[in-house]
Amino acid sequence: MKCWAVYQVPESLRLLGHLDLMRSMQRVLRRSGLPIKYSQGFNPHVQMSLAAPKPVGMAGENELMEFTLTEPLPREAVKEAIQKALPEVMALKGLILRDDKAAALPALVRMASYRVDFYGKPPFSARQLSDFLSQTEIPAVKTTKKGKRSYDMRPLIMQAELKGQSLHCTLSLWEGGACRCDDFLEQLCRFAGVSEAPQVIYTRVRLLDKKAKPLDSYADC
Amino acid sequence: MLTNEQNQQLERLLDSVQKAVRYLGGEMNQRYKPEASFGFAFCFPDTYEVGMSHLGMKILYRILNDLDDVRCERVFMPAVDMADGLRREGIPLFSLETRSPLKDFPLIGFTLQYEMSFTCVLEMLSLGGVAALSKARKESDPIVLAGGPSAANPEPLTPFIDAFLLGDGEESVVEVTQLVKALREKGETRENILFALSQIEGVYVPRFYEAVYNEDGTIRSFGPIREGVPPVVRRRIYLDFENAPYPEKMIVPYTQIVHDRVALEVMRGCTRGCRFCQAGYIYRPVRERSPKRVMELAESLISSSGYEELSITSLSTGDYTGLAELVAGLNKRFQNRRVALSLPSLRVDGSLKETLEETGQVRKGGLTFAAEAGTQRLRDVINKGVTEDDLITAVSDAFSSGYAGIKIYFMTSLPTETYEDLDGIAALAALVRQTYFNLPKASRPGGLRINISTSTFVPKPFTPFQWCGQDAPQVIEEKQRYLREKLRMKGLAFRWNDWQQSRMEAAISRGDRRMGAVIYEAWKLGCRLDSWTEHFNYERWQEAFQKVGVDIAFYANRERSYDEILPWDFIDMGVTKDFLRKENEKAKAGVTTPDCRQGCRGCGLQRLEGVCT
Repeated sequence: MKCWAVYQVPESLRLLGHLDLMRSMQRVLRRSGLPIKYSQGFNPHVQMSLAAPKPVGMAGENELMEFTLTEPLPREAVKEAIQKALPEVMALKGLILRDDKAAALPALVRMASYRVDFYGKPPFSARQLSDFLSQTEIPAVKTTKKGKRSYDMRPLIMQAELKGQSLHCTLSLWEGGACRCDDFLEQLCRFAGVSEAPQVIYTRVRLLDKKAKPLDSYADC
Repeated sequence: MLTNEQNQQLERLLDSVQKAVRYLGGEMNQRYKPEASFGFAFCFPDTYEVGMSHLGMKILYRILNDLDDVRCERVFMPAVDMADGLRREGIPLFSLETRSPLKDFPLIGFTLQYEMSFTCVLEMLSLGGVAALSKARKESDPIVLAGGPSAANPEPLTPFIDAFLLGDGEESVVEVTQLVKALREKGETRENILFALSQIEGVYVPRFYEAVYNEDGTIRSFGPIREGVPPVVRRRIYLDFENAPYPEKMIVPYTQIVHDRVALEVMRGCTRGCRFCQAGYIYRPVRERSPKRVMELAESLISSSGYEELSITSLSTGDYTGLAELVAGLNKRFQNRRVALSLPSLRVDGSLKETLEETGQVRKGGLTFAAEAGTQRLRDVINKGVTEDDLITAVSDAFSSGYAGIKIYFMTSLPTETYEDLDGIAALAALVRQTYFNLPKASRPGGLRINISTSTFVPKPFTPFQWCGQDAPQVIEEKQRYLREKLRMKGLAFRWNDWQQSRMEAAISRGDRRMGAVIYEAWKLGCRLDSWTEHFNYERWQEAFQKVGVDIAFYANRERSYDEILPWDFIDMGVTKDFLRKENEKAKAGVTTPDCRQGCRGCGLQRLEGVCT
């Protein structure tokens, strides 16, 4: 039986890296006492995957992990076991039961919605934001392992708006094209003529599929 | 707690430092008790990854947090980038649980595991807004405690520590905490609180004692200068080891730490009596946990942590009664939960084969064997009751059980060592290598890796070698060079320690009160995290010694006479000075002392009623 656990990475743990989170969630599953499926081989480990790597510095409100149980169990029992095994500061927000043959979780992720909270007032106006978005092309450069690569950021931005002290946006996140939230903010600040990088807290609010449907709202199947 | 503004500055700082996960707290099984009024800051004078690997801290963290109205919180030495950032931004060093500045805790306790962490004690106090010097602390400032094996000789740290807890901390830390809490609530003065502490067995309050020196620098007299203060401080020994509180729900860090596994202490103390080993004397008598209790603890530790590895720890796990049965039982219980067992500190003179086969069932790690010295003569001198045959049988068992990675550990510059003993190390290494190739190809694992590692002998207080001088730097260097040449063999790697750190350790560990000024000066010159080779700066330490006018060789290289008053003589460790002297004489004569499980050797513990049977 395949399960998706929806959990929160609180702001206080935003500096956790992907590998630390992976290891920690594997231990959550081991602590849960549930009949978790292990990989075969010389060094057996818990078989699980996170929906998308969490960038260092980012909190997450509806993060997901996928794991498989070797025998079916009632949803409430699984939920309770996971919640108890999570550190107190992390909350389990939901559990989705998936068919064993359903697509793997990471393959469904296409985009993510983010919230950027500023300490104080946002350094740009709503007008500047809409001007920024009305550009047909936003040339940007990303640094990868292979070196610097220029790309057009505009098609990777699905949506963005200012709400009070926060910037909300939805950005592409899959192998076909991904835009980092901090890169987006940097381009926007540059466009608005902001000289000093603002101090912010990044939160990934939800992970979405190709129809922009939140993965945490999937029904059981 | 930190102010809002400080918290905001801290968030910005955390964004810019390496491995910020060290400073976040909030791990599984952390105890969070903001409602408890009395704070005890448990400080480990090294970074998070090192400190979180330490068992003693976990034991006392649990005991203190089980007390009503007491919250014990963890504080670690920040890495250099974070330490500098905190200072630059004016953010005080804080606890992980509630982010409270160190200076806001009425009690601060340091655990001292090695001498090279001493400058971190000063650095942490200073970063936390607490005066490094005890005499500079004001009436309402925190009271600073220290304990742990490196408090066996507390004298070098006396200018900085208000009270030392000697011996097992399980009971004394509770007594001290409750007393300070009660007296603070009554509004007692700092001086009165410290005097009250000096009345608890095992507590040493240095301000009530004075040392007078001879012209040659040795101690003329040492004793209390206030009435009612005990002239001899006896170490605490906790006897109900079986039922001792244990951190059954240990904190599980998010990040990888040095010993990233469950540590289960099955035994405390060791009776082998290796003459160089301080732990072998200061943790006597041997106390074992029953296999039943070990199984219970293992069950709760594994299920509450989710760890993949369980380490059966003690000073000499091979001496645990019924080890083979225990290992088999643990394996049976945890195998289908994919828990690997590891057994550090195995001796090579026991029967290993069964145990090895059991532990290797899930995963095969490396194996370390402590041979300590290269020849039988020198092994007799240090009373390491291991023979060449033992070692060869052990490595042969290890190879045929599928272990291809073997580490053999030696000490160099041991008392009476000659170049013949160094030749012995090389000969032994060659023999181990040959043992591997003598096995039929089918019954040995591929990829032979033999690691020979040596460290420089450091004479320690409360050992038979406490009177010995350490080899001079040129001698150590020459010996290391000689070994490097001798150990050029295929499939074999040689690692050795730099002598500079060992020399500082030798000077500090047997230092008297004047060493405090050196440590203070070294810290002022920027020394911190000295146990990290990348931060250790020998020249700076030399400069500190020079500035204060203290001779390194006087402490590190001088041989003491038996009638000299040693700085730690006022402590009753259980083992008597007379016994240590006799052992030193036997060492010089190359005569061994067998394990006292086979008969009492009169080490001194027998004087204490009910302690050693």
